[in-house]
Amino acid sequence: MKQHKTKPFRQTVPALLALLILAGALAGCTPQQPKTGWKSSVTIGTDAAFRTMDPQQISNAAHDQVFRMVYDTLLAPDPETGRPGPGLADSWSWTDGSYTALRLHLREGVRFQSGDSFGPEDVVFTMDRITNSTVKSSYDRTEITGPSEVVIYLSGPNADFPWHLAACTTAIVSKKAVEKDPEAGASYGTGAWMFDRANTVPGDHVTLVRFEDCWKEKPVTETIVLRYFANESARLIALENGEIDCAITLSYNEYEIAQKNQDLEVNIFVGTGLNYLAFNTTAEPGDRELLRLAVAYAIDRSAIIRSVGDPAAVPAVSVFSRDASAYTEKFSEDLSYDPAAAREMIARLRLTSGTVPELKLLVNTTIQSYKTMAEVVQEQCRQAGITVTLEETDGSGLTARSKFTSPEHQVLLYTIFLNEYNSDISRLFSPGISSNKAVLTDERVISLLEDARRAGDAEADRLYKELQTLAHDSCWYIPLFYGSGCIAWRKGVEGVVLRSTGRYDFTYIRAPR
Amino acid sequence: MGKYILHRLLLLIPVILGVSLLVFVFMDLAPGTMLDNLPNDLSEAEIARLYHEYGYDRSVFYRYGRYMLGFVRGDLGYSYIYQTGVLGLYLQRLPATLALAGAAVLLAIALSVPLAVLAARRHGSATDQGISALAVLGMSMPNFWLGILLMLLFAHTLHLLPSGGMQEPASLILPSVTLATGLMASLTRTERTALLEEQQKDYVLLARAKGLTGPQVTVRHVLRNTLVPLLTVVAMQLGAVVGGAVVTENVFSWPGVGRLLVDAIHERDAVTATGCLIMTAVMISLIQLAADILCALINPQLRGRIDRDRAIGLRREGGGAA
Repeated sequence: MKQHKTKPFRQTVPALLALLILAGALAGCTPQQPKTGWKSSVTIGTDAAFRTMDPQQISNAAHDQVFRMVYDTLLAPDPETGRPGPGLADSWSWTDGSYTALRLHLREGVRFQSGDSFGPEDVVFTMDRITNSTVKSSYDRTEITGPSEVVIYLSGPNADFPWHLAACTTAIVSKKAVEKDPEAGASYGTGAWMFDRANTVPGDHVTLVRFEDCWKEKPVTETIVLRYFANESARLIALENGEIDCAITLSYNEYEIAQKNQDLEVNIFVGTGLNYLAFNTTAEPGDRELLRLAVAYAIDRSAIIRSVGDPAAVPAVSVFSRDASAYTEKFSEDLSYDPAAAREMIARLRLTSGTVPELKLLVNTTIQSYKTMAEVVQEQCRQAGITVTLEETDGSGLTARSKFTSPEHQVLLYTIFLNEYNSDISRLFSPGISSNKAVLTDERVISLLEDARRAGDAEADRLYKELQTLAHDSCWYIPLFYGSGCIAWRKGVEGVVLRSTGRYDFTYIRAPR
Repeated sequence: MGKYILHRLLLLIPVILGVSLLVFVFMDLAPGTMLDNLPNDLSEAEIARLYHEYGYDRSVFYRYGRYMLGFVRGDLGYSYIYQTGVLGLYLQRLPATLALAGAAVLLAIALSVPLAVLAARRHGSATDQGISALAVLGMSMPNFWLGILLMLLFAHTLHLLPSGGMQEPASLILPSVTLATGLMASLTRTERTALLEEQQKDYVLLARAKGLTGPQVTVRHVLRNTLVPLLTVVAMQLGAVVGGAVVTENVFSWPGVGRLLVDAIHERDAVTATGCLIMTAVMISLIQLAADILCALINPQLRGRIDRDRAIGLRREGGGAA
C-alpha cells in the first residue's frame, strides 16, 4: 500500500518538471508580438512648474504647452507661420469690414474628454469666463446664430482678434462639465491628451494619457509625463542619463556640453524673450528724455550678450517681436552704442538742469543673468558719466514695485515674451496693464494702437512701424537683446513642433524604444 | 502617562500660533504678494478685486486672524497659485516627504549602529579614528553640496541611478543617502559614546564572567541599553531631518512638502507656506511625542519618571492656585 501511494508521486514530480521545462522552451520559441518602434510613455523635463488645470485661470509657457495638448482652441496656430488656422471652428470670417464681429462655423462630431458633445453653448460659456485682460478688453459677447455657428462681438475694432482665439487663454472647456463640477470640470478639453489626475502632482509633474475619442489624429505615444526641474543642470543630467526624453531650456553654458553628446539632438534658436530696460516715465529721473537718450547711447549690447554668455542671442533695436509683420530695424536716429554721444547728452542735461541725477536700477537678482546684465549696464553707464545704483529684489518684489497704478521704480531690467502678432505690443504701451513698465499714458501711442487695430494689414503695419519709431526715439524702453532658447532631446525623438513664438507643441511627440 | 500626552498635545497650541504668526509677518515684510506672480495679465481692476478678497488691502494681522479662524475650523486656506485647498496640496505631497525622511532615518540607524559598535569595540584603534573622522565629515557636509556630488557621480558619470524625481523606487536612493548622511554621523557619535559608557558597567563584566563572548554581550545587553539615548537623539534630530528634506527635495526634484514650501515662499503664497509649516510643526511634535512614548515603553524607569515629574508639576500648579 505504501508503495502504491508513493510511486505515482515520484513519477508526477519529474513529469511536471519536464512539462514546465517544455512549456518554457516553447514559450521561448514562440514568436513574440512584434514590438512597435516607439515607447508607450515619453517624459519631458520642463523649466517651469505646472499647477492649474484650467486654461482660463493661468497663461504662461509652462501651462500653455500642456493646455495645447489637452484642449483645442477655436482657431489653431499654423505650426509654420503661427497664423490662426482652422481649429474647433472649421471656418470663420469678419461679418463686415469694421473688425468688430467674427462669425465662426464650428466643427461637428467633436467630444469632450468628459463625454459631452462640443457645441456653440460651450463657446459662449468659455468666452464669458475668460479673465485675460488683453482678450477681455476687446471682447463684448458671443451669440449663437445656428446649431454650429456663433458670432463673437468685440467692444471695438480689433483686426488681430483671431490670434487671441488661437491662444490657450481661449481654449474651449465643456459648459456641462464645469457646471457639474466647478472645481475640476474645466480640466476636460477636446484635445488629443487628457489629464491623469491620479498621477499628477501640481508643481512637480503632470501626467497626460491619450484621449481615444479625439476628433484629431491619434498620437502614437500613450502617456506623456512633464516633469519640472527647477535646476537647468539637473534637467540636462536627467536627459543624458535617459530619465527623460526631452529637455526644455538648457543654461547657456551647457549648450556646448549637450551638443557634444552623441546621444542628443540640440535645437538652439533665437527666442522671443526681449530683455529691456524700462524707465518710469511718470517720475524723476525717468521722465527726462536726455537722460534716457544718454543711457541708450551708453549701452553696448554686444558686451551685455557676451557677459551673460548667450551664444545665440541677437541684439535688439526695436521692442517689437522679430516675428511680427511690422517689425523694423530702420530708424532715422541711430541710438546704438556711442559713448561720446552719451557724454554729450549728459553735458546737455547738466546745462539744462544743473545736475545729473543718479539712477536706481531695479533688478531681479535671484536670476544670475539679470544680475550680470545689471552690473554691465551699471559699468557702461558709469563710463558715460551716469551713476547707477542697483536695487536688488526678486521676481515678486520687482512686480510689486512696478505696478502701473503705483510704480516705485526709476528704471528696471526685465524680459517680455512677445507673440508674433503686431497688436501684442500693446502690452508694453497700454495704460492699466501691468506689463506697461514704462507707465505710459501717451495719447499718440494710444491713438496709433487704436487706429492699427481697426486698419487692414498694410495700413496696420505702417502704423505699428510709426509706433516703433516713436518708441525708439523716445527711449521709454531700451531694448537690449532677444535671448536664445534651447530644446534638446534624445536621438530619434520625433514630433516636437517648435512654434515661432518659442513655445512647443508636444501633441505628437514619440520616442524610440 | 495620559496626562503627559495631553500636556504635550496642549503645547502644540503655542507652537502653531508662533509658527503661523512668524510666517505671516515675515512674508509680509518681503515686497510683493502672491497676486503679483499671476501670469495671466489680469487687469488692474481684477487685481484690485483679488487684493481685497485676499485681504492684502488690510493689515497682516487682519489676514492672520482670518487665516487662524479658518484654521480652527480645519481649513488651511485656498491657494490662488494652485487653485486648490492647501490641505489637499499638503496631503498630496506628504507621502513623498515621509518616504524620504523615513528612508533616511532607517538608513541612518542601519548604518550608524554597526559603525558605532565597530568603533566602540575597537576603541582607540585606527578603525575607531577612521569612523570618528567619517562622522565629523558627514556632519560637516551641507546637504545641497553632497547631493550634487552624488548626483554627478552616480547619475551623470556612472549612469547607475536616477538623478531626481520620484518615478521609480531607485529614485529614492540618492536623496535618502544625502539626507541620511548628517543624521548617520550624529547617531554614530552618540551611539559610540553610549556604547563606551555602557561597556564600563559592572553587568558587562558579569556577563563576560558568565562566559558570553564580546559580540554576545554587546548585542544582547549593551546595545539594548543604548536604545533609549539613540531613540532620543533620533527624535530630537527629526526637525533637522525635515529641515534637511527641504534642501534635499529641491536638489533632487523630489515632490515633497519641502519643495512645495520653497515654491510657495518664492511665489509669496503665504497661505500655502503657512499651512505647510503649521502641519510640519504639528507632525514633528507628534513624532517626537511618539518617540518619547516609545522610549518610555522600552524603559519602564523613564515611564515612572514621566509620571512622577507630571505629578510634581500638577502639585506645584495646585499649590500656586491655592
